[in-house]
Amino acid sequence: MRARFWGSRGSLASPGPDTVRTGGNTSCVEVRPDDGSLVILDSGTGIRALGASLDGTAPKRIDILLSHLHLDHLEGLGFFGPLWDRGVELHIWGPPSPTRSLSDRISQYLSPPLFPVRLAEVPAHLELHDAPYEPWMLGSATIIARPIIHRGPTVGYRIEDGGRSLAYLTDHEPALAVDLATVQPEWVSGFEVATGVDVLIHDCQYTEDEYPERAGFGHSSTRHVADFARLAGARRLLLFHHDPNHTDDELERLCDRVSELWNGEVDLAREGEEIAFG
Amino acid sequence: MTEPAPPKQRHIALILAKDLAANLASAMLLVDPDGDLVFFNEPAERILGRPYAEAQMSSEELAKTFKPVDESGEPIPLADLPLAAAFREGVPSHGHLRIESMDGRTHDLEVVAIPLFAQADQLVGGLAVFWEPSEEA
Ligand SMILES: [Zn+2]
Ligand SMILES: [Zn+2]
Repeated sequence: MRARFWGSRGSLASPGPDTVRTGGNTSCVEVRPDDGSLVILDSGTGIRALGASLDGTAPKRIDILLSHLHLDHLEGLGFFGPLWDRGVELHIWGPPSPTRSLSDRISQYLSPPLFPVRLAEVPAHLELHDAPYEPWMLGSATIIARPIIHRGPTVGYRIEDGGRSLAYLTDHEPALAVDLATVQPEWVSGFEVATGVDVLIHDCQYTEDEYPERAGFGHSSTRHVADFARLAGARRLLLFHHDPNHTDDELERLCDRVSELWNGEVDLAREGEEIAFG
Repeated sequence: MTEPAPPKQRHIALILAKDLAANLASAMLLVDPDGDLVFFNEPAERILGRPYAEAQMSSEELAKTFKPVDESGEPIPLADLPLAAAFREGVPSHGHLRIESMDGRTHDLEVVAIPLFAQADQLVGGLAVFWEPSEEA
C-alpha cells in the first residue's frame, strides 16, 4: 500500500508564504492498495491536483471515502477531473445519517446556487453508499468505518492491505467525553479504528492553550493526540487538519510538543508527501 | 463453548451517554446491546447502594441482585422490566417497581428506559433513568 497527502489543512484552504511547507489545501489523501486500485480519503481542495495528476491514467473505478460532509472535506469534489469523465465509475462512501441519505446531503452543496451543476448531471457514473458497519473490500484493501466524535455524523476509516494499516481520523475530539489519560480504551471514540495501526493520521488542530476556548468544536489538542496515539498503540503518528491560523513555524512547534508527550514517531502531514509505512 | 470476546470499543452513542450520565443529577444506568450493565452514575449509586466499580453484572445478575417486585409484592420477571421491554419493543418504556438495594434498603422507583439506536436498526445499548417518587405525589 502507498499513500500521499494532497491536502492536510483543516477548516479552510490557507495558501500563502506562511504555509508553504505544510501546504494550504484542505483534506485529501490518496491511497493505493497493492493491486493498484485508487481509494481517496476526503475531497477537500487537495483533490483537484490529485485529479489533474491522474491525467489519462485514471482507473475505471475510483472510490472516495468521505469522513463527513463539512465543506473542507467536500468542496473539492466538483473540481475532481474524473467526475467529468463519462468513462469513470465513481463510488462515494460517507457516514450514515439517521435522517438523510448521503446523496441528499452531498447534493445540498453540489447544486445551485452554491455550485453551477447538479450532482445528478455530472458525466461520471456515480454511486453513493453509506459506509457499512461491517468491514468491506476495495481492491485488495479491507476498509473499516466507525462513527467517531465530531459534530454531526462522522466516521474514521481504517485501511488494511498487504500487512500494512492506516487509520484516518481527521476531525475528531475523543477527549470530549472522557479523560484520555485515565480512561479504559473501550470507552474511547476511534480506538477500534486506530488500535495497533502502522500509520495514524489524526486531527491536531489546537495547542493545549487554545483548546479550552474551543472544547466541543470537534477537534483535538496536542495533548489529546499524544494520549490517543499512546492508547491506540500506533506506530507512527501524522498530525493532520492543521488550523488555518497556524503557520509552518507554529506547526513545527506543535509537532515538537506532541513528541515531548508521546515517545513514538511523530511528524506533520505535509501536502505532496508520500506516507512511509516501513 | 468460549465466551465471546468483549468489544474492542463501545459505540460512540454509548460513550457520549456515559459522559451525560456522569454529569447528570438524576440516577442513570447504561447497558450494552446484550442488556448487561456497563455503567451507573453517582446518583444511581446512592439508590443502588454500591459504587459501580464494585457492581458490574449481567442483566440476569442485575435482576437477581435487586429483586424487583411490583406494587403488590409479586416478583417482576426479567423480560417485563422496563429495559427488557424497551429492547424488545424498540421504543422507550416506563414502569414502577420496588427494589432491594445492595445495602439492604427497599426503594420504590419510577423508571424510564430508552433503547439507543445509532442508525434505524443498529441497537448499540440502552439507558434507564430512575427516581424515587415523592411521598405526596
Ligand atoms: Zn474539517
Ligand atoms: Zn469537520
